[in-house]
Amino acid sequence: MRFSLRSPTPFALFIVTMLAGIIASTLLFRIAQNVSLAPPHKTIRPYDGAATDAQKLYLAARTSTSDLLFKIAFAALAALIGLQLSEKRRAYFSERGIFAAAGLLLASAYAAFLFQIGVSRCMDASLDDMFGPILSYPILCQFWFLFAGVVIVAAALFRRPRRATLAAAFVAVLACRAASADPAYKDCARSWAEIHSTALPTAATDDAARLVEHLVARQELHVAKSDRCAVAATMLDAVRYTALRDGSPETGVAAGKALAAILRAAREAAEAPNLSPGELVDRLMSIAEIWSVASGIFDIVSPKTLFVTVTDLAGSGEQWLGYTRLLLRLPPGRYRIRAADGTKVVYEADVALARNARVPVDAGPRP
Amino acid sequence: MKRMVTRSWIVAALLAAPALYAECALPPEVRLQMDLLTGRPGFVHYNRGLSLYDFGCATEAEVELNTAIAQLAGDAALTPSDRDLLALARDALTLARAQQLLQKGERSAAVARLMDVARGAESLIQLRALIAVVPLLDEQSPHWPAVERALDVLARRGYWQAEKVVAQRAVAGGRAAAAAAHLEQRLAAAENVHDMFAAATLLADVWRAAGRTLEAWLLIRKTEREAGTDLVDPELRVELIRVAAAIAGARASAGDEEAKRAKVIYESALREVTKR
Repeated sequence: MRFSLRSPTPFALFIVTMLAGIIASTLLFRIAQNVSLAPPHKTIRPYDGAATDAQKLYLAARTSTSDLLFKIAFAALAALIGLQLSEKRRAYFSERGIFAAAGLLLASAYAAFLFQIGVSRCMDASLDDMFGPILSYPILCQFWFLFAGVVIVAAALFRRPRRATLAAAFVAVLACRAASADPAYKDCARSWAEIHSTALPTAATDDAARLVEHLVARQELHVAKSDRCAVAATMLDAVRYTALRDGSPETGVAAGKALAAILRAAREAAEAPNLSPGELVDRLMSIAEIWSVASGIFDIVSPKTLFVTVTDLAGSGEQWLGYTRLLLRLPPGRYRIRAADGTKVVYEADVALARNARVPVDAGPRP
Repeated sequence: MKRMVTRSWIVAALLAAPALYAECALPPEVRLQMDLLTGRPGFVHYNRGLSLYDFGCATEAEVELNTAIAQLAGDAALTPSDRDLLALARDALTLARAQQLLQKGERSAAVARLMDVARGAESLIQLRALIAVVPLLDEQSPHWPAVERALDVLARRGYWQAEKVVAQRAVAGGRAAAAAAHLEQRLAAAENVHDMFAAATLLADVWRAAGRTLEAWLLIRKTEREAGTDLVDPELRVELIRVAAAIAGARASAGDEEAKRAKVIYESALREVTKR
């Protein structure tokens, strides 16, 4: 087979796109395996029939998505083979486009196979892993390879190779944009730790991301991409409150270690199929629940770490506690915000919170 | 969690006392509990100081609290919870000094010190300051708005001692019906057994003060039966017996034979639990 970069033969293009797709899918799957709760070839909590309703629903939804994408890719591939075999119509199409699309469709089908392996792995090692990338990466590969293949086929119908190339470039740019505009919870946890001057270990960042992902999935929340970091911050602020109340330092490596221990315990408690996952996870669940209704956000800042109480001025007088900097999502209403340095109240104000508003509160005082 | 920790402090404080403070006449079981206190030195001294303050041993409490402050302040790297404890210890020291001033008869100076703490953030030290300052204020005192506001905040947070002071103020001001209505709501909305017992006990007391002694009698008898096994807050148990004795006394005066018999038992129980 002779291959030229300047004008590759259709078959070479088919091989290259297919291999590129397969390699990319495999690499992503390997990465997903490495960040899983259960390390490769290790079993943490094998499936014993005791899956939660959330796990069952999630798995069913993922499997049907993968199945649908596989069927579409398979049908499209069959149609392309049919077109290629049709001598009469063959001249009207760009062969290179058709072959490149076929390679991508095969890569999409391969990603469906990886998804099935991922499901088996979750059953073997730990059901908790299903909420992680081990199932989401193969599905993303399936979708994007299929989408790119279909776009290239559509462009190829015009028998203009340059347009096919342009379409492929367009798809690539779109995919890159989607990836970059879509902050993962892990990135959010990392930036949250930076804001709080906390050296969070890598494993703890993973735990934080998985904890948030799990709680979001459990509450069946549809979080807008722009809200992801705020969701993570509201939950991580509650975890930080627990750590500080227990006597851990507020910044640095020691603070990161203390948070890491709590995050690991919270993640395991949240992912275990227990009826009562504990006080902290219950609190995190209620924070996640607030994200399911229209609410506003208080962003309470101070140069020095202050103890904050936010009291609902209506109804039961419910109270939320935390340490600055504190991101708190609450239903619309009027709240009394008090910030104390030790037992000395240094800030007190009644503040209204409107739906979808983000209210910055500078609780001072200056150091 | 903060409430749990602070509640455990007050329980520890009520049950603790060291042998070296014999002049404070601390009960032996309290001394034993105090000796069993463990933890960081600053934390232990703080709790001992509070126990001594609660038993009226202001001078000894001052010594313990000064030690706690010196140890906490000497730590180079204070965590936020250490800083909170240090601030609480300083406030407790202010209370102990106010107690000393009161013992010397310097009422206005004591009130000024207590008000410094009463205006602070919510804590059991603030609650102690409020309970201490209320009997010292006359009706025209300019401190009442701040005191009532702080009491209201603590009462809403579930501190029944603050709720009791608020209810007593309402009854004294001729607003017993409003106080009863509020406590009925509290009882209906109680989220746990402790809050239910607290609301029921205070409501029975307010009903008694409002002259509704039969309702008060029925409620306190029912509460007492359940409290025997379910009420663990030692302070609230004492309050329950005190209220029950008062209601039984009121019913006995009206000729209720069962209440007369119960009154003797309640008063005997009250003597047992308050003899320390």
